[in-house]
Amino acid sequence: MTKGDEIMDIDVKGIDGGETRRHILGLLGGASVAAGGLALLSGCNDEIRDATSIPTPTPTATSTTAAPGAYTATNADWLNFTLQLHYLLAAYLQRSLDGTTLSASLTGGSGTAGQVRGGQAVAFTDPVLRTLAREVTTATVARIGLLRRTLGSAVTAQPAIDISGGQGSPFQAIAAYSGPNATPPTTFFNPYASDKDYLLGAVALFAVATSAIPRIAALAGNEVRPVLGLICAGVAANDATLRNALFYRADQEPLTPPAGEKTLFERANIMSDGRDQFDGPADLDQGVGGFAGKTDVNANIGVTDANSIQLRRTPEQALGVLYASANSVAAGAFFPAGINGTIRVSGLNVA
Amino acid sequence: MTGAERIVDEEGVRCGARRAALAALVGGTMLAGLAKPAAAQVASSVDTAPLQFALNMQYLTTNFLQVVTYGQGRQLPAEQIRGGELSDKPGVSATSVLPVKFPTGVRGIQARIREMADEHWYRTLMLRGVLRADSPAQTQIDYSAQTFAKMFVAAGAMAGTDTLYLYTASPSDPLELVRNVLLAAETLVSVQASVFAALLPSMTNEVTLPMMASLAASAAGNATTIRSMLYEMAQAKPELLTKLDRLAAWRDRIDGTSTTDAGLSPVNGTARTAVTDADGAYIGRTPQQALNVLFMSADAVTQGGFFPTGINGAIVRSGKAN
Repeated sequence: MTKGDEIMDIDVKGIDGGETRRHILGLLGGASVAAGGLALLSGCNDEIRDATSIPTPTPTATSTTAAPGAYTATNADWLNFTLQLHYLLAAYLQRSLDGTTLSASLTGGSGTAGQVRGGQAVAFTDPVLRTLAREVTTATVARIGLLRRTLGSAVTAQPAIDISGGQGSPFQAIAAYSGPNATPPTTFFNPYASDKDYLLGAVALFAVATSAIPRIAALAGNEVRPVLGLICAGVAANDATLRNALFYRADQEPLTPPAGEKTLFERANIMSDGRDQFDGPADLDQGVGGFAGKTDVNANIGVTDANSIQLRRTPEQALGVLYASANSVAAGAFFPAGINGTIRVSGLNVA
Repeated sequence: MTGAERIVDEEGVRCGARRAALAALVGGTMLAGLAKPAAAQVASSVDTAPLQFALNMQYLTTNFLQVVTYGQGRQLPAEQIRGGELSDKPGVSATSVLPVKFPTGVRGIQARIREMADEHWYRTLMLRGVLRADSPAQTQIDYSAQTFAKMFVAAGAMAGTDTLYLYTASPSDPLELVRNVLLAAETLVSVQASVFAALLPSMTNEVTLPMMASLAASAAGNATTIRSMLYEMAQAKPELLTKLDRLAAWRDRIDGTSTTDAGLSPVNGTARTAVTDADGAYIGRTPQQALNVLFMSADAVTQGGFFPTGINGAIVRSGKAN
């Protein structure tokens, strides 16, 4: 059996909460699935939302649907998906820090090249936060260089990226639950408006990357697993820096916010729900903590499962959030023309 | 989901362990069916040695974080430090770590230590669930202030004549205790995170691979959380940055020539809360390099420092640093 087949038949989310039943079926059925039969898994579509389990998504009248590719990912495909996520992180971080974008030497490659649209430099009021923003930005851009070097001629281009905030923007699309029972928003999320908004925006994008890359690092072949393991931990470390900075500021706020406003803890929770609506029924996202009683506080820096290890998203779940669609689509929100590479279609992630 | 909804009850613990054990069992069955080498049972796979080492790293962090935040009696209990059936020997309880009475005004730091203490507890159970019969027994761990002080002095982070206020408050500065608890935790958790980050390529099993990837991500996050708290506290106490710089430099020296660590002082206005290299990748350590730090020896030895009688498992010897 090929490496690709292994990738397709193993449910690597098995040790995550809520997927045990499918997990065991998947493991028991490993041989038959490898032989091409998906029958064992077909009764479990309630729990799995990626290309492996849903070969034919049901089109809906309200959105342009696309079939999640039944791909067999190569090492280059896994690295390129990681790179595409990094293009988005870097676009946001660089624009926020000083208004710039990646240099041309870091954006070329195969696929459809695009520009970064929207966003602006944040007028940081806290100089300490600026040092942290620089750290995370520098590391993220450096990983783009590392990924591109590792990929060599197989590198994919930066696609068109929209990082605008405000009404109708990609950030607003993932800022809160917007389903049938949602209250229409009266204010709109602009991540460039303040120190705290910047952190909420950065945590939103990193939540997706940090959950997507562990799975990729685990599935990729031996040749690239060492570098992907270190990239996986590097991304998680940057994410932790941002979540700590957000928690620190949330903890400083008064217990009761001014009338008509929400605490930073509440805003982080609402934004977590905003992301979670596009990646299927499982709860794969969390806020950073909350006030406990009148005098104490609880922290939730780590976004973890029942075993207290980092939650994982499939690429199709990650793309659901970044395309801001629970239906299977090939473009949307932060990526108006989709991403480049083999892995590019979001899953049927209807909750 | 909010932080308050995190699974922290005993049922959650049992479910996690049960799930992992079941996964290991079923995984072994499938692998045998696919006729993969050395996979007739997960407990004896090539993944065992690195996972045993990972469990030793978990013993090291879990006892410390649990007791400093929750108090005496929260050491890992006998049944969770005992060797699995294949060694069948009791573990040595970690009695040298002491509870810390935190001063007022640091609830945000206490909350984050508490979160990590919970996380490390469950991860320890997870690894034992995966290793089962091959779980190594916990050995003696020396968490005494004297042992930490020995390292701090060797690193130049404190004078040999000074007292390290680690479990008892300094009479002159209530926050000194908090800073030292964080520095001590940073040593243990940073070393653990660097090992886990580099351990992924050692995994072959389809269950342990994603587990290790997520474990590495979470451990890197924990180390960064502790360093973030130190960075917050350093704004009012800049010499704290220098202390961690020196501890990191000492760790980097004692485990060989390759760069394995990073200080906390900002460079060119850029913070260094994460231990990453010029490529933005986390900086890894081999298990042998980790043992150089934890045994506090640049030589190839089998005990010392935090582990006066060494550790159990297949990897027990530090590397010969250059």
